[in-house]
Amino acid sequence: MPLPALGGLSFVLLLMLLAARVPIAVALLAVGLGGLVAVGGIDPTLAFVKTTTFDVFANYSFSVIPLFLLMGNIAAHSGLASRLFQGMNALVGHRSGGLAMAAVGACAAFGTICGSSLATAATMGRVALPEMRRYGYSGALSTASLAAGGTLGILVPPSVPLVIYAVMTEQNVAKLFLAAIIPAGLAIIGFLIAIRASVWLDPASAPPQPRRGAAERVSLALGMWPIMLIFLTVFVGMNGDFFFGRSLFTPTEGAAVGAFATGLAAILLGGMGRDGLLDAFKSTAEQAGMIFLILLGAEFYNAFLARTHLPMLMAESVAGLGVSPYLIMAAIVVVYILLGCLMDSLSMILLTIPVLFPVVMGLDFGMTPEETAIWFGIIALIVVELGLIHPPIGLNIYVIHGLAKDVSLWETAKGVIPFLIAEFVRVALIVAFPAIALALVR
Amino acid sequence: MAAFGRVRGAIERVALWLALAGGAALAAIIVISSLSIAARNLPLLLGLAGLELRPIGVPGDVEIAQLGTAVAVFAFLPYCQLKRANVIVEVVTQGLCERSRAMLDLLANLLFLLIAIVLLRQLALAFFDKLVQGDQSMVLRIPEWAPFGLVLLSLGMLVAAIATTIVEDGQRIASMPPSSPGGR
Repeated sequence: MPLPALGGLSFVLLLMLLAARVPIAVALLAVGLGGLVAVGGIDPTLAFVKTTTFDVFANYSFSVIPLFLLMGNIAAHSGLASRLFQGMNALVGHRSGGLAMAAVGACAAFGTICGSSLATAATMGRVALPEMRRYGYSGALSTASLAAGGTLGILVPPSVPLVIYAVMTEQNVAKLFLAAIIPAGLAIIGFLIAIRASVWLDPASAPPQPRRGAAERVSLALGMWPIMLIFLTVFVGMNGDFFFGRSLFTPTEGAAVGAFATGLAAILLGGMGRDGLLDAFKSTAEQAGMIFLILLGAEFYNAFLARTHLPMLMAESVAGLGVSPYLIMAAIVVVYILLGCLMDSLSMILLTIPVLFPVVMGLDFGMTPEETAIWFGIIALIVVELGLIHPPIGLNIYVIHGLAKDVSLWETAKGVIPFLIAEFVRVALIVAFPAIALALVR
Repeated sequence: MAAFGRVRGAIERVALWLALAGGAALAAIIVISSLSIAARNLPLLLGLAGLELRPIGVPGDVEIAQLGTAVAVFAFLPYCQLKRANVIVEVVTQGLCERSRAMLDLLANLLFLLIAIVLLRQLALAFFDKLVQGDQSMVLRIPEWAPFGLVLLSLGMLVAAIATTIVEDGQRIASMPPSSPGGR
């Protein structure tokens, strides 16, 4: 069998294994190892496993991931999340749909110390759902705004998928984080408009809440300072060359500093004790173990895929089509949205980037290669994150559903529609105007 | 099955301790790296204030972060498997009955067991290679076999954890009659 065909076949086999409830990591490991044996024989494959396995886990660029996960989990198991919601609520709560807006704002703020969407949705859901229900917000609006707001967890730096994209494509993580800022701002604006539209369509879904006194509002809003300070320290330090010509620390070190500060804040201000810390360790163990096993599987699978020359061949044939590069980018976005019906965001990034990244880099968008890589990274991040809130397996929807059993999945799905529209508009904008992602990086 | 219950309890306890030790290792890395960064950047800040100080830092902080996270994440794997935290695509098999799904899970875990044994064997070989070569890390002179030894412990526990989940799957299947309600 010709090698590229073997590569194509492996992808089909992979999807079949996934459909048969094989965990994504195990499917990647199995097909990757099987493919390597088919291409190179047993002994070279075993030698590859011997040298590669430890190196994947000991990759300095990946070491940022468990640190960011621990930071997010410490924040999630402390009182910091509720502080954020109270603060945001003090700022916008009195407006129409204000509680939902506060939830989105708090998700964005929480996203500055958490690199995972599911954790953001779950944490803010626990804090904000009871409040919204208490003030009579409809099930659809309250669950949908949290499911959508949760996606800000990976969009607002830090972001685990962006770290992985950076490593796979040899890009600068700090620059990618910087590039995500304006698109994240756009997302927040889009979500706020979606909330306004939902309330306008169904005024009963968001009854107004009593306005608080100015002094109380200011003091609640100021209560958000520790998280803002942590974010600024990590972000400015990591992008030091952007702010004062010299980077203060690497992303891994930034994660360490952020986690240290988050831990201090959680213990001193959030009232976190020994049990909270142990729970944070346990959640981190589950998430990091899962992610690194997938990373290892992707390493094996991609090593095999590279030997089949399939990615190179795809890139050449797509570039040879003579179609407008922007049309191809649009087609890629559609593929991602379809894949989002099947897979979680991490697996999508790991599976598609090795094939699609060379394709995109082979096209001429009139940008430098680095700019193209950063722009595509942001687009990929946003479209995989879309999969978190669209059917059939919008994971964020399930997370929030687990917290609000009385709201049916169907209701949440309906409530999510305005947010999805906002997201589609945003993706179209960023594809059409790369400057949105690149303005800060240039 | 009481014997299995005791063995499983022991495996669960060791896996939990490993995971918590990994978490503690991460916490230690966080503290060491933070101190090192503070020490390194303090002179810069003092310099802005007009004071002179030579940059210092914890030697080998990058090495600690790199090797430490690797060892910590390997230590997470057995716990992660026991908690069945590995992501599964549920959407295709939602319509199947509980028993069929348990059977698929059992097959998937058998596949994982095979792979984990291959990983364990290859890393054991790597460990012995390092032991013979006697190489050390660049800055801190940590012998290279040391982190591999800790990883072997974690991978051995991972194999035990997968075996535990396989037995659990088997029990789930055995406890359900072939035509359990909820099937087609």
